[in-house]
Amino acid sequence: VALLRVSSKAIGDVADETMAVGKESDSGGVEAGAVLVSYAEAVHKRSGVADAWDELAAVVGIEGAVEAALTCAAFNGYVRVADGIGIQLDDGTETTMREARAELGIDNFGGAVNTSRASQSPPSDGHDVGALFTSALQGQPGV
Amino acid sequence: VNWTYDLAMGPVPDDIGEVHVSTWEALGRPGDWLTGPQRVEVIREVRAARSCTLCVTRREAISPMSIVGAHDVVTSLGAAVVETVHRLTTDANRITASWANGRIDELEAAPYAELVGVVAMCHVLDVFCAAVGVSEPEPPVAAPGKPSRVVPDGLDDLETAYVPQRHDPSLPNVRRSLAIVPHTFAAFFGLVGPMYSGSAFGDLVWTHRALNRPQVELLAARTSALNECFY
Repeated sequence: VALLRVSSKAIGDVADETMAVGKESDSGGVEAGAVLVSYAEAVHKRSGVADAWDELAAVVGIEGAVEAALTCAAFNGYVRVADGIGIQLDDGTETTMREARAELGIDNFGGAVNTSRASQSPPSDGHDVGALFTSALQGQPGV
Repeated sequence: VNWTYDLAMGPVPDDIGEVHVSTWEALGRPGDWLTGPQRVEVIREVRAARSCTLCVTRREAISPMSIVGAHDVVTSLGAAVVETVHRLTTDANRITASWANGRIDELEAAPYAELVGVVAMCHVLDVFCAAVGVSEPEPPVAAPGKPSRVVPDGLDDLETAYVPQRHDPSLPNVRRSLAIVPHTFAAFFGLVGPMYSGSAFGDLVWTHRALNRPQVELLAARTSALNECFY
């Protein structure tokens, strides 16, 4: 959600982050947001994928639909590594997204207990979430 | 590996397809601590777990470990490995420190981490097949040979994860997560990196792809939420 926020801001948009947790929205401030979410949900359920694909491809093009498939698949791996290894949120994300996590209900997810430092530092102003990622990952292969 | 995306609903880039095939083949070869045949057995068990009666029942339970019983197994893998693979497959988001430490006591940290990586890579490739409308490939052919059994230097039990991590504050935690199994680390990030951002992770504005960055991040966020992943 942090990268959804900062990348939307970078192009002058404001994403409706509630779409990430399943709230319905026309587009959520993201171009073709509704069909992207429908496709991600179909892939997760492995049901209705072909129909969701057709709807998505009609809006974002067939290459865009392939990119969507790649993203959904990749994050089915990331989540299992994160939960299987029990990693904590990175400090910057932990503080800057604290309020959003609470509002979106993400704090109720099981893995939240791994971030034991959650209440030990005050939230920052959230202006520099993007820098947290770019400074940490610039030049890192494979990310 | 008899695997093609020719029948996919859309054109999968050749370089992506090549990474998928090479990753799948590599999953049949010896890894950090597991042999090729063991890794292939893990893949077979991942797929069996998706319809395992015990896993389905646990998934629906408020407290999964309150449900006792036997997994539906299709391999000769040991009980600790089966429990690890099935849980990672079907209920990873509710893994607790107590459960993970129990498995690590039985398996040791590095083999446990390798199982995490192998299960994750199998999911990535199987989900992608479903997402583009093609059948999952048959498990890779198991290759002979010994695991590398390399113990990396510079790892500490930082108490920031279930297994020892590299102490490098410049890296996000996910990039340190599989440091204890360098072979698996390279394979996993070599697979998912090109599928997500490639070399453009640090760029918040993408103009070189069909989807822009917020579109990709919305997919990533929704997929993570569907899996109830806090990270």
